[in-house]
This record gives sequence, C-alpha cells and structure tokens, in this order.
Amino acid sequence: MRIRMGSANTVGSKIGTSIFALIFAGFGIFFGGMMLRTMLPAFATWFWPPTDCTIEDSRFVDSSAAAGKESPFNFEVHYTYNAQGRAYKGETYKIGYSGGSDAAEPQQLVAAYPPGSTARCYVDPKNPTNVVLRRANLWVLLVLLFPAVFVGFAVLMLFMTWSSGSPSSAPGNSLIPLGKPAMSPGKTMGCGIAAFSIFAIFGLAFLIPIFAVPAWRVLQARSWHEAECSIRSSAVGGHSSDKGAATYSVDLVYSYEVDGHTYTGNRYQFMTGSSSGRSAKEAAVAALQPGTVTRCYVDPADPTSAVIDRGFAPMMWFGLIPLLFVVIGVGGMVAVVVATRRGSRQQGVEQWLPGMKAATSGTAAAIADLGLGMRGALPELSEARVLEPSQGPFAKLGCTVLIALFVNGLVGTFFWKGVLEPMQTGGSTDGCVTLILIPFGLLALMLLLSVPYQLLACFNPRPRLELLPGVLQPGKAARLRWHFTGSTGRLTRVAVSIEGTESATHRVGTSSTTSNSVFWRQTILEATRPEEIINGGEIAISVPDSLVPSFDSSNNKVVYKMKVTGAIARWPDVNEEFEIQMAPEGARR
Amino acid sequence: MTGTDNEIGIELDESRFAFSPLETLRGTVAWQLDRAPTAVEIRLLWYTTGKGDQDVGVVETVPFDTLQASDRRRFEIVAPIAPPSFSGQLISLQWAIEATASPGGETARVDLVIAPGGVEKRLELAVDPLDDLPASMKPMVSKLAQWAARRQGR
Amino acid sequence: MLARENPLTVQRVRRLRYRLAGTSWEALLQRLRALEYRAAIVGSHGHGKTTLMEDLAPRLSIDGWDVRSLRLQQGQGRLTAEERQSLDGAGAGTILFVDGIDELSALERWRLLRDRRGGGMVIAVHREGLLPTLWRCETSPRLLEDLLSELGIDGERRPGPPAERLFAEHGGNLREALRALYDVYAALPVR
Repeated sequence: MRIRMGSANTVGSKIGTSIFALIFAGFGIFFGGMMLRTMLPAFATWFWPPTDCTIEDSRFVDSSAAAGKESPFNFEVHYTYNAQGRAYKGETYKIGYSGGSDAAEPQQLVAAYPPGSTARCYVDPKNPTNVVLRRANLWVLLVLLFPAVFVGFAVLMLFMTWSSGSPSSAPGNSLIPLGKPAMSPGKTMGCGIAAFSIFAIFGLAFLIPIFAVPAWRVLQARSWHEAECSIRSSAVGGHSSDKGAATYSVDLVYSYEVDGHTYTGNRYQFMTGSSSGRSAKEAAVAALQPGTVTRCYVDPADPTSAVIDRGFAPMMWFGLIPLLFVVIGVGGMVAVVVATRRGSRQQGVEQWLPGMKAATSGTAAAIADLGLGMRGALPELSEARVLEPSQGPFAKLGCTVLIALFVNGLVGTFFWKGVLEPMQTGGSTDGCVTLILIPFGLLALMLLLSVPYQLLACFNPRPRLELLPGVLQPGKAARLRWHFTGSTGRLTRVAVSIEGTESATHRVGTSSTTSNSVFWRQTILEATRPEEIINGGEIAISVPDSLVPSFDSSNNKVVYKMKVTGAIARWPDVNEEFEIQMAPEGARR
Repeated sequence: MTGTDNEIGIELDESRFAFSPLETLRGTVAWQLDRAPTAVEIRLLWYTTGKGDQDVGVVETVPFDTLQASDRRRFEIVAPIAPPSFSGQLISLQWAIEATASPGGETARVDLVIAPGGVEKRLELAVDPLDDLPASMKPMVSKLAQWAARRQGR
Repeated sequence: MLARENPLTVQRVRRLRYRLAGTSWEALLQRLRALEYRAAIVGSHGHGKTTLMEDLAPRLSIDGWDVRSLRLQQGQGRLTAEERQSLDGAGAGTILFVDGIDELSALERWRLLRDRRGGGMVIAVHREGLLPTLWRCETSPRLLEDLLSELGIDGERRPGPPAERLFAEHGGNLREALRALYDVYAALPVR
C-alpha cells in the first residue's frame, strides 16, 4: 500500500483567500464605521469640562395616552450654569435622549435630579450653549467588538495566508538528523483558547440580556412588596419586522402609590421585547382592562420599579439558547488546556526518537538517548503506559461546529438576502448570485451534516488501552489491557490491530512529496461476544523479532500505530488511533 | 593501498563487516598523503537511501593526533544498539565507517551491517493471516494466537 | 525489492545531471553574460530547473563567482533570518541562485529582485516575466529513456509501462515519472 502525499499552496488560492478575507474586513469596517459615526457626537461629551449646575425644574412626562408614540415616557429638566464668565440655561439630559418605553427610568431621574438640587453638568468649551447632565455610557462602545471581530478575523486570515513559516527541516543532507520541531504547546493552546473564546463571548453577549438579567430580576422580585395598581391603559402591541413577521406585546400603563407618592409603571413581566402568540397577550389584556385594580409588586429599594407578573415567563426559556454557545466556548477552552497539558506530559516518552531532545524524567530521559546510538544496558522498560488517542471527540466536534456555524451563517445570510427574500416578496432572484451560491451552499450543507455525525460520535464508547510494557520490543511479548467506557452495549464488534509504516519524504525545488508503505499489520483482537465487549479484557501481543525500532529523522520515518475500531449499528463507528513506540532489542525486562 | 599519492583506506579486523549491537569494531586506518594532514578522523555513521531524501547520523567520531604524512592507526568503536541496519521498500538504513583527512578531504568508507545477529532487518509486508479468514472464524483463530503468544511469553 | 537495491532511489536519481539540448555550456554562460547575470530558468514542475541550477553553479564558481544559493520551500512566503543573513556581504563578485522564488509573497519577491547587493541573480520560475529568460527547460519521452539508460535500466527488461506512456501519464514531469517507476521496482519480490 502506498500513499503519495503532497501539499500545494498556489498564488491563485492565496489570492482567493485574500479576496474572501478582504470582503470580511470590508463588512466589519463598513458597519463599524457606521456605528462609530452615529456614536461620535455622544462620546465627544467625554472631552467637555465639568461644571456645577442648579436644577430649576425636573418632571416625569407621561405621553402614553397619545397613540403611536414609541417613547412615551420622558424626563424633562431645566437647569442653569456658568461658563466662561457668563450664565446659561440648559435642558439637555444627555445627547440623543428622547425618553423611552420604560416608565421607571424617567421617574428615577426625577428623583436623582430634584428641583433646587445641584448637579454636575458638562459644557462644550467650543460652544458653551451645548451642555449635558450625563455623558454617554462607555459600555456601549463594546458593540464595536462585533465588527472588530470580522476585521480581526480577516487580518488573521491574511496574515496566515501570506506570512512565512520556517522550513520544518533543512533540505538535502544533514550530518546530524533533526527531528521535526513540534509546534509550541503554548501557541497551540493560545490559538485554541482564542478560537473558543469567541464562541463564549458571543454566547454571553446574548445570554446575559435575554435570560440572565430577567431571571435575576424574577428572583429578586420575590421580596418585592405588594401594592394596588390601577390600570390606566392596556392594549396588545403589534410589531412587524421588515420581513413581515409580526410579534406582539402586552402594553400597559398603571398607577400605584408608595408612601403617599403616586408612581407610573408599565412593566407587565420581566421579559422585555415582543414575541409571537397573539392570543396569550389578548387574554392578558382582557383581564387588565382600563379601570381595573389589580395586584402589582414594587421594589422596596426603588419604588419607581414595579411589575404586574413577577413570575417566570415560558418564553424566557428561549433565552437559554445562547447558553449553547457559552458551553461550546468554555468547554472547548477547557478541552484545549487539558489536551495541551496531557500532550506535554506524554512528550517524555514520545520523544524517544533519533535526534529529538531528551526528556527530563527518569526512564523517558534514558529512552530518549536510544536513537542516536546508545551503549550500555538499556533502562527498564517495564512501565505500563496508558494510551491516549491523537484527538478527542469533543475537540473534533468543536472544530466541526465552529467551521459549520461560520460557513452556514455566512452562506445563509447571502442565500436569504439574495434568493429567499426576493422569492418571498414576489421579486426575482439574481441568477448570478444563485449560481455563485450553489457550491458554497453544498459545502455549507456538508458541514452542517457533519455536525450531528460528530455530535453522535461524542457519545460513542471510548476505548481505554493500557500497554504493558509501555514500549514494545521486537521478539518480546507484551500485553494490552483494554476496555471501553460509556455505553458499551451498543458495540457489536471490536477490533484492535497494530500497523507499522515506513514514510519517506523527498524535496526537490519547492515541492515536497511523502510516500508511505505499510510493512506490518497484525490484528490482535477481534471480539464479537457482548460480554467480552462490555467487560473488556487483556490480550497478549506477539511482536515479531524481524521488526525494527521506531525511527524518526528529517526525511525518513518508521512509525507504529495501534488502531481500534468499534462497530455500532446505525451510528458512527468508533475509530481511534494511538501511536506506540518500538524499542530496540536488548532491554532489561 | 597502492603506491599512488593521497590515499586513505580502512581495513576491518578479520574482514568482518557484520556486527551485533554492542560488539566492538576493530580495524586500522592507513593513509599516504603529500604532506602531514591537519586532521584525520574515523566516523561511525548511519545513512538512509530509498525513496526519501538522505538522512545521515554521525554517532561517533574518533580523531587522531600527532599526524604524519603516512601512517597507520588502530581504532576501536563499540557498535550502538540502535538504529539497526534495515531495508524496506521505501527506506534502507545502512551503517558505515568513514575515514577523512583534512585539508585535502580524502575519504574512505566501508559499509557495515549493525543489527542483531549481524543480519540486516528486512521490512517485508507481513500479511496478517487473519485478514484472509472468513469473519466468523477470526475471533476463534485470534484466541488461539493469543494463547500461543502467552506461552511464548512464559 | 529492497530500497537500497532499487535503481531509482533518490540518491541515484540525484546523480543525473542536466542535459543541454541544442546548445553547449559555453553558449549558455555566454548568454548569461549577455543578460548581465540577471536571468531566469523557466520550466514546469519536474522539468529540471533545480538540476540545471545545480550544474550551472560550479561552472560559474570556476569562472570566479561566489555562488550563493537560496532553496525556498513551498508556501514559505518570506525569507528566514538565516537566509537574509546569507545575503549579507554579497558583493559584485557574488551571484545569487534562488530556487522557488514563486513561493515568496509578492512584496518579498519584489524586495529580493530589487536587491542589487550582489553581482547577479539567477532564479528558477514556472512562468516567464520576472527576469529575462536564460533557458526554458523542456522534457520529452526520449529524454526520459536516456535518463533511464544512464541509471542502468535496460528498456527491454524494464518492468512497468514504456517511457512514452510513463511520460504522458505524468504530463512531462520527469521527477514524478521516475518516482512512479520506483514504486514499480519496489513492488518486485526481494531477491
């Protein structure tokens, strides 16, 4: 069996990748620029010097009775201040403020800025008539992270496409063989954590406002005081998107008294926004007609904050969907750290190959010297070794999900905008766009289908192998203890084999080709009886004395692998590979 | 060696060219040069040939001192345990003793076999006999093979 | 067949030298001189560009040139620190051989071609245009047959396909044709 391998990285593919990256960066820069442009006037106030101002008048304005107002609740304020030796009057709370749909906030502001009080305001040094009581909230700048991710990803893609990499080994003859330098574990871990952290951040960005904050309020509201609320107006609010889908909300305005002071509230439940399902909202509105007196709950620490229904709304559970992204992100980061640390621990044994640096610990250090010509007695090779697969299932799943989400999100957006939306609105689709999207769509579909496959594979039983001794030797018997963890009852057949492969790499000019040839294959286990598969066992391995030790130099290698397959009906099979070492003959046992 | 100038050569004792690991290689290096060399050394090395680019590993170097233009010197080198001489379809690994003189760069090389029993190992495709059996027979035959291996291990 | 007995090992194939067809080495060096020692060797994969460079270099050394070689790797993109260092101290008597300049990024390639520290530069490329063409490497079934004869492989007793078919199957890429023949010999039983 010969497998010819080579790699190609042509200028054409680099240009293609660069165009893709530039489109990405273009999106990010365009949207980031638009956001920044709208935010700039507000954030300029951070450069205005502060001064004292006197609140002449402040009031809560309720315009909910007027139909069609998007922000019916407003905070109006009038204040005086001195700037550049002259007296001025101001009435701006903050740049861009024109009220809101929440009745509590303006009432809180009235309490914060009562008439006759002194407050800090910020005056434009270039035009003292421009003044604000409050500067823009800097946390809003975090939204720029979204376009920044696109730009950052594009830059990274361009860098990786066009940047250099050191040749993995010197071409031509070498007097001293050099093993392939391994990628720094720190870099591997860093890249993995960075990739998964994007998932986690995105997940948290949606999870917190949609689920976490409302859920926290629900819990807090258990200690709120009851009050009598008089319904002033109630209606089912309809909201339609530009795609025509309608959602509904319960729009209420009610009054209540706390300590002799009358407040206005409009919060029905803690879950904000609107959702589908008109009938449930109609029923709620029907029970809360204007003039009705009902029970509401008021925050004892802030009487402006009240709610009619302080329970957990069923729709709130949908807010947990972003949790999946957080789990994938955090789980992926943990898996990367664990896998990197485990790999670093194993290097002590796996570095026993010619030319590799010696490991630091005991037997492994002695074994590491073998390849360059060791003399004297070999060290004890009786240590058992637990074999670990080259890549865990969750790592495979994480990679698959990451790629599938990214590609499907991108392709889906273009497909919706270019094909489905025009069809829905009765327009015509662009033939060019459709043609271009077809191959991408097929790729996206394949990636999508691979996710459930990998997800199913995550729940596969996993082989646990222990080799005794941990390093094989020609002509010497060894033992393999094996068992599966997880739902082993689903396995119908288990097979374990060992393979020895010689691998030769040839470089001429810029191209490099590697050929592989399997010179030894031995099946050491074929199990079909359920009790044997479930319980596992211990098998003897007979290693022919004609075999050679593992060998690794710049261009030529002899590699041994143990392959485990487990057949599962109507489910992805178990397929794992473990690299094993073959020591030279003559060791003490 | 002949009487021509600038020559270097290696003779192994008993004309042996096959050794087991940890055996001592003994021999003589002789040279005849125009003038006294600045350095003469013996190197024990392995090298690969085949479908891949050549790799070379110098395992031991024995330099000689107090050099004259013509001389004979004895050397002894212990053969290492690994890697053994082997040949497969893609890679052959061979051992050699090499003598070089500087500054002229005169070189002599003698190929050796260093392997258990002095016999080069062959990587010939070993077909697992189980592969040819019907699937239903494989578990039973596999168990017999394991029983035999356990007996061998004792 | 054992690897060391295979007539087509990399080591044996590497000993094959470039065969100039229709001209002589003197004429080639004359042309290089006329191009002021800045020229390109053009050819597809496996057509002998690297071999020609390897054979040209010692002839220039005999003429008194200090020949420095850069062998770039696929996808390399930029020169490594060591490669840059090797260019330091290049004077009028130095000629730089660059094998694989296509693998550099456009910017790095432009920088390297602009570098006039040395007395000359010969590059191996797949397409013309970067520097004046010194030589276009071509292959033929006849050339493949000649190389196999030089390797001691008799056409009549040679296993595998004839040279014409081997040449056609690999699109004139002699390196791949020879490697394919290696596999044919490797599959023969051990004597």
